[in-house]
Amino acid sequence: MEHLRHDDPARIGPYVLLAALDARDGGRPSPDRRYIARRADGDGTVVLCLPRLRSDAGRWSAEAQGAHRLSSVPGFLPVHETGHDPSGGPWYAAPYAPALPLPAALAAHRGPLPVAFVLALGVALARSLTALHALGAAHAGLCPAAVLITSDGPRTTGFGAVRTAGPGRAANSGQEPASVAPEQLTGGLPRPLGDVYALGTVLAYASTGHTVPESAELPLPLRASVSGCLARDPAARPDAARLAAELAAAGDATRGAAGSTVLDGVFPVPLPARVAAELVRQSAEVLAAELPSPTGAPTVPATARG
Amino acid sequence: MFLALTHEDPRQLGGYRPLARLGSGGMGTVYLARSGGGRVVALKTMHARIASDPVFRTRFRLETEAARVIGPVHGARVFDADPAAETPWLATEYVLGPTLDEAVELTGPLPETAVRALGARLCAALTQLHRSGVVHRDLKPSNIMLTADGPKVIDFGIARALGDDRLTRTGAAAGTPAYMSPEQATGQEHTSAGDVFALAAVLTLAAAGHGPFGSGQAADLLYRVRYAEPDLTGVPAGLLPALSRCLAKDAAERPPVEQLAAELAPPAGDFAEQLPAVLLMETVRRSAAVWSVTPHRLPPPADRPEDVAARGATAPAAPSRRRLLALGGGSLLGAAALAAGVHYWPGKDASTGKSPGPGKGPAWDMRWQAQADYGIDPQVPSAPHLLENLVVIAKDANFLQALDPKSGKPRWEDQDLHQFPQSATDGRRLLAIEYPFEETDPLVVRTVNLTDGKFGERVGDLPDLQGRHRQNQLLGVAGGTLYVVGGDGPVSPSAFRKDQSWSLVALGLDTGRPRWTVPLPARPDGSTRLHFLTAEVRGAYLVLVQQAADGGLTLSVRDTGTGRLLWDRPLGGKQPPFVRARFAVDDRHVYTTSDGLAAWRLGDGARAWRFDRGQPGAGQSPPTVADDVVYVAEQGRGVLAVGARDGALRWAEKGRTDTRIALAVEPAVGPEHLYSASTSGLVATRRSDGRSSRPFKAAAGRYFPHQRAGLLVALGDAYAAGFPLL
Repeated sequence: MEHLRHDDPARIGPYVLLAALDARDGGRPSPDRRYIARRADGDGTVVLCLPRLRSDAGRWSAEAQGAHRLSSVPGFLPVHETGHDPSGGPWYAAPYAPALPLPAALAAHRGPLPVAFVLALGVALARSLTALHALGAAHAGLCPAAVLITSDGPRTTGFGAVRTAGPGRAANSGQEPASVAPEQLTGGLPRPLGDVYALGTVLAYASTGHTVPESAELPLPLRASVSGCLARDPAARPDAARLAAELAAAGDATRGAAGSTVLDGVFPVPLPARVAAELVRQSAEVLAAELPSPTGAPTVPATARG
Repeated sequence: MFLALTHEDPRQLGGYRPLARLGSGGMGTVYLARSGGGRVVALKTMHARIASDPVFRTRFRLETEAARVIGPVHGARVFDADPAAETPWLATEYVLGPTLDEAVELTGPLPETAVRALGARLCAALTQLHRSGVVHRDLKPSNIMLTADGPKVIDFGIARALGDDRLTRTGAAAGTPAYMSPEQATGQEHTSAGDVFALAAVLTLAAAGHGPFGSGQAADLLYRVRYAEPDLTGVPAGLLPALSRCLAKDAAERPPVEQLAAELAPPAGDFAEQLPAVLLMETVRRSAAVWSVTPHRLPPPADRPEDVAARGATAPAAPSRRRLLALGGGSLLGAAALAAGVHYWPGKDASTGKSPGPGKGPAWDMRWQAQADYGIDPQVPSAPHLLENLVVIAKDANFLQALDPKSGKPRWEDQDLHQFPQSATDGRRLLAIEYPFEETDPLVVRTVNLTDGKFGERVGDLPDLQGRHRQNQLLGVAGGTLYVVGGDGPVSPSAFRKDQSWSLVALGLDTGRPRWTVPLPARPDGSTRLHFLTAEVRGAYLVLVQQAADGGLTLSVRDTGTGRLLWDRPLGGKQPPFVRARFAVDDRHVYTTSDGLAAWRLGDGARAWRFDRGQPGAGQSPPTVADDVVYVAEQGRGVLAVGARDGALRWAEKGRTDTRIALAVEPAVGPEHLYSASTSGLVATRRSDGRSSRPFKAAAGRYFPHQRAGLLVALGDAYAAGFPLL
């Protein structure tokens, strides 16, 4: 969570911005600009997503509608509201719950995350992709920053970033370039196996700190699966369901060896302590945050209310 | 735990709008509240009627100042306060994390490094206070919250000192005796050295799972604080020297706070890294759950004449399931029947904001809620008396209350029935020991009139025993026999005396005379441990868990006809006594989990089987048996169904999302489901195949099936609630 800067909008639709969700200077690219915002009457705090500057508002808006329709897919940020601000352009919002972008989780942990946790994260994300792919859709925006860590499992944003960017412009989509599958960089349509490639880079990042590691850098329980995801030939990659099964088996083996306790259905391993503490800290900060003008309600035009 | 607002709660206070109740007591209410700018706070208020006393108003102001002095690192950040308002209020940060006593209940004693980290930070908090000339005076586990970044000290003793009417009513000094300093216990000045004593007592609980002076009645605690050696059993050796010096009776012998901080030598690294994962995840859960609170206000009681007239009908006995599900929507609220003091909770799961059950599934939602209180430290496990058309609970440490099982509406409450352990039921009638005028008066048992709670006919007397002993117990009624524990000798209001003699008596309800009497061991002076924690009759067998003066538990089985002891065996294990004391019994066996699930033959105590397919080291809840199946909940796994005859696993629960089991709670059996508690709520599991529902809203407590009323009665620390038994 970061303070707002002068180039951030103050208001979008019915919402007043409180803070930016992502680190900006030196941060990893995110497909969307993401903020924590609150209704001007103080009631209702949300995660608010805006398109990147200079992206196609119409196509972004269409993808936001898609994300809205898909918000019941497990592991998707539950988009509950979309809108268009006269000056700020399109936006969508999800009810606020404490959430850390994956790069912020690594920053809080001060390094790559424990392998047992990365395996659990991988299972949850692979299952989410399995559900999405079964609906015939591809995420096309998965990358480290698109993954939010919450108390209730990962949530992804950035749906359709490559489609928004348009044919042949995947490298400028906001999806981290290293997470774009080779076949899409050359103009191919986003396909499910492209998401699997992106997931491979996410897990590589979570476990080593960078998206395209040498195979030897990867922790052993992840090595085969992640290398499989990162195959240049899409046909050589596992599908999301198989990946979920592989990672789950590796997770069981790892936990069995470590003898740790099964805690919960979503993350079968506890959040790393410093990541957990950072989530709690964020929640406390947002609870304590006040709108810039405490009685701002009357100044919001009635027409702006979503 | 977020409770619904009542119609009497303020709509706004100092610019804050209450969203939910966090707690309430004799002095005032604490709300979760939101400012106009959306800041969410804990809003502490003092009742206007109490604030009309200038002494209390001053104390509220001092408390506010102390909260500011301790500051936002070691305490809850103070946003705003108005001690001069008609209803004085204080708005602080809503602290994310469990209190220390909740934490110890959740995970057991903390690791030594966590205790060191906790202790060092509490030392820093006290240093901060003492430097400003403030002494805390009421440091205790429930006033310390464990956040991810360190402990926060809340609730200073100033406002409480005069206000805890429960303690003053039982004749003890004000405050919390278990963590009081000896100088405080004798009414002398409690200085910063007194805070050091209390801190060491708190750290003893954190390290060993028990306080240095045990628990029990206030008078005994005060005695032990003043004269007894602290009980440091279970404290890691590395912490013993520091803690025992801080617990010196002479304040001058205790080290200063700074020295204690140095001796604790806290580990390097973040506080969160020292905490057990279960604890940290509970904090994370709370940090998310607070965002799902939706304001809900209960309507005024509907049984006022004008309300009834307005609806043109009398209140229905209980809303239908459909009606209950609609309550969350708000529009039907005015039509729902509500009785004074009884709260409905809307059909929402606060942790997710979603309705707990799917549309077509059963409605698990709470039917009613009522205040209940077994006192700070009940001496036997709290339980309701379940009668055909009545649920009897302890309204207060001092009297009983009867509720309508359908609506939760109070039928009567009676101060004559002042001690819950001195009443018993066979499901049809309620019996109680009469509280006589004279200390020498015999022990007389009477029926209790079910319509008004007044004493009825005399069913028996025991002229050799006295009715005034507070430690008398009615263990239960079965087969026309009432099992009574009674004392003979000088009456003592709070604790046993060694010159008393005690017996277990089987009182024939047909003759009103004893069938047999068995002498019980004498208790040392000052002991508060009741002789029996649990009892149940099965055919010719009386199954008891007897408590020794040193707290050791014994499972024993007696012949109901003669009182002869058939067999007994010690109950070991690490769980608290109340948990270990709960067994299950059927026609063949007694089942216990104190040391892993095992079945003991009723007739001779031989072990029939032992269940060894649990995960090694994982804790198990007390067992429940029904229809030849024993149910236990296992930590990290869920409910296990085990054949009662052979000890073979029938099924292990599937699909439980929260396997952080509340180990103190045995599963409760309904017609098709059984209920077990996770930290995030109650889970209903199908008895046929072990499939479970989502956790639904129900605070920690115990759950008792009332089969005939189709009701699951939940009993927490401060409330009783009714759920449909499905």
